[in-house]
Amino acid sequence: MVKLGRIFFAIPLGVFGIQYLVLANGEAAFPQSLPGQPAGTFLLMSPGLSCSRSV
Amino acid sequence: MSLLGKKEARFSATLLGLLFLLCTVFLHAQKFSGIIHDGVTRTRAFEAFALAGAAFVLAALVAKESASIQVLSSGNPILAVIGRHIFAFSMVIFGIQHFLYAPFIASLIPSWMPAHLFLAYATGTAFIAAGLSIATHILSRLASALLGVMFLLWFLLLHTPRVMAHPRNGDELTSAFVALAFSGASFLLAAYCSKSR
Repeated sequence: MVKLGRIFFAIPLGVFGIQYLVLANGEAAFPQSLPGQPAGTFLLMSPGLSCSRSV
Repeated sequence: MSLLGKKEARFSATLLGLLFLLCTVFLHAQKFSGIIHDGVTRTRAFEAFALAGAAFVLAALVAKESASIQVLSSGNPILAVIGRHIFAFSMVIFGIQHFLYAPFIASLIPSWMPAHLFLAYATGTAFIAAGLSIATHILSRLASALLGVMFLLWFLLLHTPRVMAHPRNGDELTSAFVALAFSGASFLLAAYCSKSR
């Protein structure tokens, strides 16, 4: 179960990382950068940052 | 890569948990009013929060592979306990969301499934029950495993068809892999709960 959990947990992280690398082109990809900081300053992986869905 | 390859996995998982936690605090918690009043903002915040919790649990599960991070996640289970409660609390929040926005949730369920509204409420109930079970350690292994199966079924039956229907929609892809990540997180919780009793 640990192995299954780790695989299912790790693969999405890789996908999120690739998504951010692909989308890391400015404000559109990082709408929630800290106030006063340029967009994209915080290259954090956070699912849902650029999403408009609830599930 | 580190988590899959087991190389410095404990360090990576701990760092990942801190990253998600910082993300929750510095990016999402800024919109505290939104978290209180807006379901979408709340979901985004608690997704990152729950993943932080899961990462801390994973850090406790993986074999000791690095001495350099012992201050953060050595044999002591503090981070894992915190992670478990973060995850459990987030599941309860997700469950409440299903009751608050049941018609919207029902609209996401594939048309070939029956009783959409009932499934929305049943899923919300399952979330709350699983969260309470994980938090109290009562049947927590079973609850976590079933939660993992539920997320996996979502990934396969709900999200994958949506991704295939909209292959260029990044939001759908993210949603699908959030579900898969939560499936993995739930299975990790199940393993942790069985080992920590």
